[in-house]
Amino acid sequence: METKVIVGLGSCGIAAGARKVYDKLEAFKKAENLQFELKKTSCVGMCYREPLVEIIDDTGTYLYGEIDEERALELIEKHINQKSPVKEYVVQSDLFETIDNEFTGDQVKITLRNCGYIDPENIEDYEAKDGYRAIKKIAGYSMSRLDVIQTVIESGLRGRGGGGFPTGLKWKFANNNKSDEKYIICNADEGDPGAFMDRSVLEGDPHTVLEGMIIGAYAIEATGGVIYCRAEYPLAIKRLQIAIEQARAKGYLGENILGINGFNFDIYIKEGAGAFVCGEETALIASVEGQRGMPRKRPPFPAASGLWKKPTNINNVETLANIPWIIQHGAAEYAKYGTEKSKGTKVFALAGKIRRSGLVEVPMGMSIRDVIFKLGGGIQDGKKFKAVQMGGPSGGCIPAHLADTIVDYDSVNATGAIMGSGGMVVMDESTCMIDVAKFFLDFTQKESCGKCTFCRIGTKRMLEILTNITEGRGEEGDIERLEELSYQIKDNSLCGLGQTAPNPVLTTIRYFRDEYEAHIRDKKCPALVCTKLLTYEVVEANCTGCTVCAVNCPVDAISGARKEIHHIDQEVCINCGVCFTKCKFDAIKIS
Amino acid sequence: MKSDKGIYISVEIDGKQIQVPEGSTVLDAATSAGIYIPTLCYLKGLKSYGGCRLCIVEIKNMIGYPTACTTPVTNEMEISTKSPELQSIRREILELILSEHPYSCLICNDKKECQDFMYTTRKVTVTTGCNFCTSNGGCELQDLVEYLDLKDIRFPITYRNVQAIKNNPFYDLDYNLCILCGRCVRICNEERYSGVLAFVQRGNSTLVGTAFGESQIEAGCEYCGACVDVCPTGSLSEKMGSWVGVPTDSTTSTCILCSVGCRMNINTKGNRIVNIGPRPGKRTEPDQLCIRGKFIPADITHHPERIIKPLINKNGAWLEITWDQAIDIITKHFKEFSGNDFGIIGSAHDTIENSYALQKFCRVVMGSNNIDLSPTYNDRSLFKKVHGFQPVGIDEIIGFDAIFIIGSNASVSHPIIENRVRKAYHHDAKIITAHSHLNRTYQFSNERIIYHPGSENIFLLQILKDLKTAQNIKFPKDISDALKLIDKKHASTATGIKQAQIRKIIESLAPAKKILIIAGDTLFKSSSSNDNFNLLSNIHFALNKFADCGMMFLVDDGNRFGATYTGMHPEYLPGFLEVRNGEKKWSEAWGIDISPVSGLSTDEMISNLPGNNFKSLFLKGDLPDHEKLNELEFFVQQNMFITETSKYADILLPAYCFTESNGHIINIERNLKQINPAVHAPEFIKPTWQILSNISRKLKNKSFQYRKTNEIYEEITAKLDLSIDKTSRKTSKFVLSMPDIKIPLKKRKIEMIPEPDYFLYQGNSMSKLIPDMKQLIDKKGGKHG
Ligand SMILES: Cc1cc2nc3c(=O)[nH]c(=O)nc-3n(C[C@H](O)[C@H](O)[C@H](O)COP(=O)(O)O)c2cc1C
Ligand code: SF4
Ligand code: SF4
Ligand code: SF4
Ligand code: SF4
Ligand code: SF4
Ligand code: SF4
Ligand code: FES
Ligand code: FES
Repeated sequence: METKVIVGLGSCGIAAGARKVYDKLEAFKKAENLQFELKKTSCVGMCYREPLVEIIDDTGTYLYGEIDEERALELIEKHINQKSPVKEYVVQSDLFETIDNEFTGDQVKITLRNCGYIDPENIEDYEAKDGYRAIKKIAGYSMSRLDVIQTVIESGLRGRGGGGFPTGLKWKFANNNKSDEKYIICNADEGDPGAFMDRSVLEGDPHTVLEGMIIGAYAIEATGGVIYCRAEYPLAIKRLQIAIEQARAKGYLGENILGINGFNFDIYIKEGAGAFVCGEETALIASVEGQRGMPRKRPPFPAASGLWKKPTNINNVETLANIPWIIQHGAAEYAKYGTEKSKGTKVFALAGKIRRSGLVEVPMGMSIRDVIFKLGGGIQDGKKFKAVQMGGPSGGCIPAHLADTIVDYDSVNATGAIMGSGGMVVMDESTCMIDVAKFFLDFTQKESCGKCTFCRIGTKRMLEILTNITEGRGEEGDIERLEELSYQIKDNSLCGLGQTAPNPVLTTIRYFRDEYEAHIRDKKCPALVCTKLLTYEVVEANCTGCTVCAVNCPVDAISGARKEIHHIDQEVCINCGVCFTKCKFDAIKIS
Repeated sequence: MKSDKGIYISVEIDGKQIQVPEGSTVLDAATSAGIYIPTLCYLKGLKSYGGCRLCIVEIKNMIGYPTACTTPVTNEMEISTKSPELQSIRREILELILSEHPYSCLICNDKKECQDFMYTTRKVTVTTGCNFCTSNGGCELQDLVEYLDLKDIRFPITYRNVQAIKNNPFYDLDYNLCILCGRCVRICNEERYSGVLAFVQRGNSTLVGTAFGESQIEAGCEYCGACVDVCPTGSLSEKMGSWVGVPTDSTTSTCILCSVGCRMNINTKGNRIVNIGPRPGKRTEPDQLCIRGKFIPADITHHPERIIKPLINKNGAWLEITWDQAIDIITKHFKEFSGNDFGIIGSAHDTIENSYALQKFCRVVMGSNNIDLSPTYNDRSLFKKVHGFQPVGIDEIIGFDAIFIIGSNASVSHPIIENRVRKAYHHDAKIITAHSHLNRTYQFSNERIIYHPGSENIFLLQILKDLKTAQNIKFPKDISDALKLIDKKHASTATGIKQAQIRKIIESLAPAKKILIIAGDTLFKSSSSNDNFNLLSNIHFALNKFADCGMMFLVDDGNRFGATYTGMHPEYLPGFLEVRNGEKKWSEAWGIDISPVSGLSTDEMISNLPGNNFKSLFLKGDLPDHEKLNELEFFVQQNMFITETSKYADILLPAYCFTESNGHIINIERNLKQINPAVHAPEFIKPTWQILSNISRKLKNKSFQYRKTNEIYEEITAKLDLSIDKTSRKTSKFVLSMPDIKIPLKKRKIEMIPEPDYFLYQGNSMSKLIPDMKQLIDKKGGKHG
């Protein structure tokens, strides 16, 4: 077997320099006329180790992490030329244990089964990994539409776009509404800041999404398919385009697909301008129709009247990526994973103060603690775990004491957060929870479509109150006012954006009320984040009188002669923190 | 309230059991039960939006607070609309809305006193409270504050501080007051299909604007004013109104500016028009108007240059004289130049009462048949022939499944009719537009034809010939024979329209069950007017063989049909009775012998000057400047303004505007419509019929004496049937006349029919009278014309 050298060229890998590594390897291979096969793949999930290069030879697989151009050449020299793998760079191998085994050990890869293993721009790679077998199975065994729907229902798959609605049931509704035209839309808007599950799937395994759509189209009798993908995902769009071309060429898209008489279906990509609200299904449809992305009241649900007023089924990327696997392996196989009401696996994007950030896919039912501490390796710099934010702007913060909550729709909902699309932002003791709430509310506030009063104006008023609190202008009664506004906004907004926008505020009030009170009553930020609430003082014992702080202070708040203890005039200080960072003797303290 | 299948279901609302048609919303149901639910973004006639959330209700077994305007009723639904909880949320909503609105006046303790005593100047650049707002008194926010008894707003006021937009002559946009109800955006897009307004930006910065930040005109604004009509706040307001204040009265009348004859509501304060549009508080009733009906009447009624007293021309200078002096001078000269020396040119922007009076005066008092309108149509028998077709109602238009519109710039000439065509287009009717140049209607068309100028007759022949073959229509022999002679290739060269395009038109007409032909006025202003009419009639005949085909003639001015019908025509007496036939009906009625010789037309009266024995003219309105008028011995003009033409006049009499008049018109649907006075004309102005009566009295002629408009109306209706029979659709087969189509294109004389100026009122150019408007029309012409 010819040795394969595979470079991970997902967006994250490219950002970390993988493209350069690839180019270097290519040039080197040519120049030296080396004998190995150079291939591309996409993100395998170990973002914290990018760039990644995998070498597969007769002895086994070796995934190398943090490979820059120089190390790449070193790998060629040592591993390929001298046949001696460079163990210290290996992050994963089928031959021996590495510290990163923890990261992969408990994962179950269904959605991400091919991500990082195949060349996403090559349909044969996908086919070699059982790709398009599911649709072939449908054609070959003459599975009826209802059989397909029944399989999906029995698998227990629930929508991964955030709502968690049973996918099979959704298909059934769309199937029930008869019309000569129907649509299936893949929601690849992924507007949640910090989430990149869908992007990784689209970049790493676009064909599985297409196959999922084709199966869905068959089940509901859709005549057209649209992938609504945010324009900020150029690589995903490019790979989807390539994949669609290839699928058309092979007859997976087009007329009488795989000989199924009358099954005509094709897919188009619609680029979205990147408004968060366009991920909401009615706004998404408006946007595809060329109108402003503004939600409208449901019912009618898209299943009855959607794109161009025709029955339409909308599914998330991850949802669809599960479909081929389910059809191929059967509902029972899928339902083996997970809890009673949440079956299968879920992909999470680990981010924040966590040691191993990246993409993980875990069976439903794993505890949040395991995800963070086992897979994620715990908190960076040995700090204390404080909370994890789940569900992005629509979600909430789960505090450390609830870390044993398991990932399943209902358990997460019970905490006030939501499973959402799978963002997990981990926070340590240095995170101010009001600052976090403010961050998310600022996001939703800016992303509101502006249609309904509560969401457009109410969130803005809430943000103003939060800003006041973080800047020392908080008043008694602010917490109650926030809660009152939150409930009204939740109860009275038209779409999911408004209905969930207050969640980050509500959960932080629920679990960290004392922090709010400290800000309001004592004008203190316990996590030392809200600059307006901090005081900077010179620690006399440490001050050497080096004058660095005084020289750098933008407002000349620091006085003191050379080699004498300095003083900060609190009246003048604007809390910028420059002195703290500049002082080499730990002589500035924050409180 | 819409009901799809006529099924009624029962719901309980605030304890009241009622039956409502299936498909109603909760709001419809409440309205029919006489229960008020506060609303802001909802507007009858527009699609429900569900944005403001004020209309929330509680419904048994439904979680949360559904909005009444978007929730359909279901059987046995139990709805509660006024619980304390609901009212408190509503108050919160209003508070939030007002937190971004200059609300100080609304909750001010001294509100009452302030309103009573504060001197209000409304021309401030920014609105800082109700007392500085044009909407004050007619504002829906004020009503809601009152209804919800809001006393306090717990948020600091935020002012958007955006520049007010004052870039057009008609209305101002101060988005500091906008509450984002979206009514303007929806009406502009969903009802007017103008596509100008859109929401811009996101989140709290969302505002209304044009999609690409262009000015209104660049974005294609048609200045229909619909957005202004529906705005619940002072965000959009008529410029005129900002000088006047809150209207205290309103009068329903009819717009006379084009033959659509829209019902309009003239809102007034004292003797001033504040604005024109829907009734206060009824933002879409009556329907919206177009730029002319919405904005022009107030401008011309209160125009500073209006003449208000009789004037005499003393070597080019105008001197005021009394009415007695004026009548004396006029009478003296009318005695001198009666009979065929005398003629009257009237306006089709006048009531049937004035028209009837003018022609009767001409014939009975002056003994002349020289009576006509200005401008005229080339085909002098056009209206008599048009009368042979059953009229089509404006609101019937959207019921047709194919519309063939030819030779018109309807979005300018008849905006409301064209609006219905747009609607039909959006209801999947096939629209075929053909004209000699591009215009806005093409945006709403499935087939777009642009034929060479002046070749419309040949284009119609192409259609007719193909229609005959495709549908195998049996025409009378002469027509069939004539059609055989047409060489398709030659015809194609002459019009520039390929055979394939003709085929496509026929194909899109073929499946239609109801077809409407809309014939634009330019067809009848060209020299092939007669051909065009005949060809259209034959097409109509052919289409009627397989579909139900209606025919609509886009006659221009408001009372064009009515004026002609009541005798403003040198060849026809009232009711299209021919002068030449020596009809006795009117001779008997008027007690004189009417000369059986046709009179001179407007063109003949003027273009043969001097030398045709024609010496004296009474002109109602204005004419294009024509130096031959200088040859007249005596020329009286009755007009609202001094114009270029006035320099030839000896006497100038002031005139009423239709906003001050009483009477009727007959519109394009041949419906009789009432004109009601909304304001009094300035003191010294007299209506035309009264001036004529005075002259007649001076001339000691007893057969022409009126004291009230109504006397004329009664006289007309006693002798003339004004209710047009709508039941019999006559399909006329007019003989096919053959235009010469073999002349090669290069040698063809291209007849440029200049785009008529539709912005005229009684011949006066509105764009001259309203200076900003000229700019606007020029720009418009640039973009859409
Ligand atoms: C404000 C808002 C944003 C959303 N954004 C997304 C998104 O980016 N991607 C997505 O798949 N679903 C998003 N959704 C959920 C979709 O509306 C919809 O429920 C989902 O696409 C359905 O697919 P699923 O059933 O496969 O989850 C969003 C919903 C709301 C209210
Ligand atoms: S809740 Fe927010 S995003 Fe949703 S429709 Fe209302 S304003 Fe728009
Ligand atoms: S925090 Fe900034 S302003 Fe304050 S003393 Fe330090 S450098 Fe100066
Ligand atoms: S729109 Fe004008 S009248 Fe109405 S509340 Fe605002 S400022 Fe007052
Ligand atoms: S005036 Fe008419 S066309 Fe112009 S913005 Fe308003 S509604 Fe639209
Ligand atoms: S301008 Fe007036 S009608 Fe338009 S959204 Fe604002 S308040 Fe509503
Ligand atoms: S469409 Fe005609 S009648 Fe109606 S408002 Fe405009 S000019 Fe007047
Ligand atoms: S390994 Fe690259 S995105 Fe994750
Ligand atoms: S009136 Fe119903 S939401 Fe505005």
